Amino acid sequence: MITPELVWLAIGLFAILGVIISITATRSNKGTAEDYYLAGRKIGPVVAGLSYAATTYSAFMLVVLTGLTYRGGVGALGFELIYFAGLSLLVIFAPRFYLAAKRWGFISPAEMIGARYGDRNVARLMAVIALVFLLPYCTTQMAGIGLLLSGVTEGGFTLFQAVLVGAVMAIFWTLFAGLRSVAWTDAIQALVMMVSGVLAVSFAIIALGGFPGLIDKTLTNNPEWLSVPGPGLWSIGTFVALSLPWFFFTISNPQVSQRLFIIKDFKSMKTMILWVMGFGLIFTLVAVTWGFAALQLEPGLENTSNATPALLASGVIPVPVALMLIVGILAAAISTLDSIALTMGAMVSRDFLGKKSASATDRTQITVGRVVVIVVIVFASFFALQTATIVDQLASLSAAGLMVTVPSIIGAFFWSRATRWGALASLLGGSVTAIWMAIFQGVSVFDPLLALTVATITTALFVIVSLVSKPSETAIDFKAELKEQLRNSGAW
Amino acid sequence: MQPKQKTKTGFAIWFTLVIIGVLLATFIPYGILGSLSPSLAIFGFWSVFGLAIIGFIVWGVKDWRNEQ
Repeated sequence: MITPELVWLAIGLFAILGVIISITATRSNKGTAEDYYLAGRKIGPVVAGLSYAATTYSAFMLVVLTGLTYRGGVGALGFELIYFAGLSLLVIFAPRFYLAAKRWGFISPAEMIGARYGDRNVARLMAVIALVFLLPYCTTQMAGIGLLLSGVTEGGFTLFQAVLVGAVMAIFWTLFAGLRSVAWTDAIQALVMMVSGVLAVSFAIIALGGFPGLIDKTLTNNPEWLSVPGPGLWSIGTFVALSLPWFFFTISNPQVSQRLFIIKDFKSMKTMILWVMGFGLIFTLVAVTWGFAALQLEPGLENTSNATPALLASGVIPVPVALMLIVGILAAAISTLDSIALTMGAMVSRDFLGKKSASATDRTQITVGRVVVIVVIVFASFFALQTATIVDQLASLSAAGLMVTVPSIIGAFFWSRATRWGALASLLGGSVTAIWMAIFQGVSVFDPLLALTVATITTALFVIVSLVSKPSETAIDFKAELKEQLRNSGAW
Repeated sequence: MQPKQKTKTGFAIWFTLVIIGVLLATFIPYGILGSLSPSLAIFGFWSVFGLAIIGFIVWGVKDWRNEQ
């Protein structure tokens, strides 16, 4: 067990560092919406890459993925690497997102897709879908913090205290300097996540007698865990059900795709992607190896989500390293949470308030965004404390739910014939199908029927309705308009 | 010297290989490797797949440059 006082001390030191970064970032504020939400599109490749990585890789990795490895074995690695393979979509979409956002001044991804189809209702519907599926995801980040802190202190840290810590930090990192402080704190948080993860897993492996010891013990005690479907969790159906929606995470999650708007130039985007890849692969291997180590060092856990807290409190990991990893997981949750909150703020202020509205000055857009940031984080905290079933259901549905935006996003750049009616039908039909199947029919996210049905319906509606309707006269044909720029930038 | 231009054929080859890679990453472990007795084969195969994805992405972004 680690005493609550030590955990408070580690969090306090981390908070001081974050406050210094946030205050420094605030001094660079220019007062425009573009500056608040995108740091003036001037973020360098290393900070952008680490920020992208910290936003993408949340508390899910060292809490849920570790638990999935503990429970089901190596299938968790395959699932996470299919998700990692989804980063290859950046080769196709990063240049298009970047060039379109810069040329037409888009701040939110939904705003960009709405402009492509010449209909702000497309943008608004995408924003609502993001809100419905990402708010519960924020709640699970909060719950993850609670699980971790109360687990390592054996109840010395209450859920309320953990949620309060997460909420205060996420609000503070976001509220004053917007994306600039979020990106800078993300970069530090990504480093903490990586260094602490590598150190902690190294100590766990040493405790097992090195890699040969870990491998021998796994082959002796849990040989099935090294195979698929393994001890039962990772059937081919479950693997497909989870991997398919997560493969499209790069373009379907606005808090991630919006990172492509902040980079300072095209060449820097290349370096940014290389940083994300390096981070992603190493962090994935760390999380899965950590799960295998927990299986040997702390066998027999009933709730496999407790694998990380149990291993941290076991005494195998030196307390300073354990404290660092606790801060690392806290950081992972906060960096995902504040990024989602800020993207929500951008979507509400741009897609609902609108830049064409007379009242939508930069100051108004920033103020509205700040209110949304607070509301999102407060709501996420509230639901985390309530532990409502509906929230858990929607959170687990987030990847499959956000997948409904994929046909409209692909069509925006590759199919000039695609129409706003096709996009609206696809977004609405797909999300209603996802909610109806998962919530009302009780189809599990582990059942491939859910992801495959949602993918089929949302794609079919997009294609069929586009073919029987006409494009809006105000639509921007991204495919034709960006062709020359893409060629001059050396992109496909 | 003229900057290198990306071709549609290059994209088609790259895209096809990525799709094949993802499909193989699903069906080889669940097919051939899953039927063998437990070993490090699946862990190793997926790790190599992760490295291959990095290779594909490096290939895809290597000619990116700021517009002249």
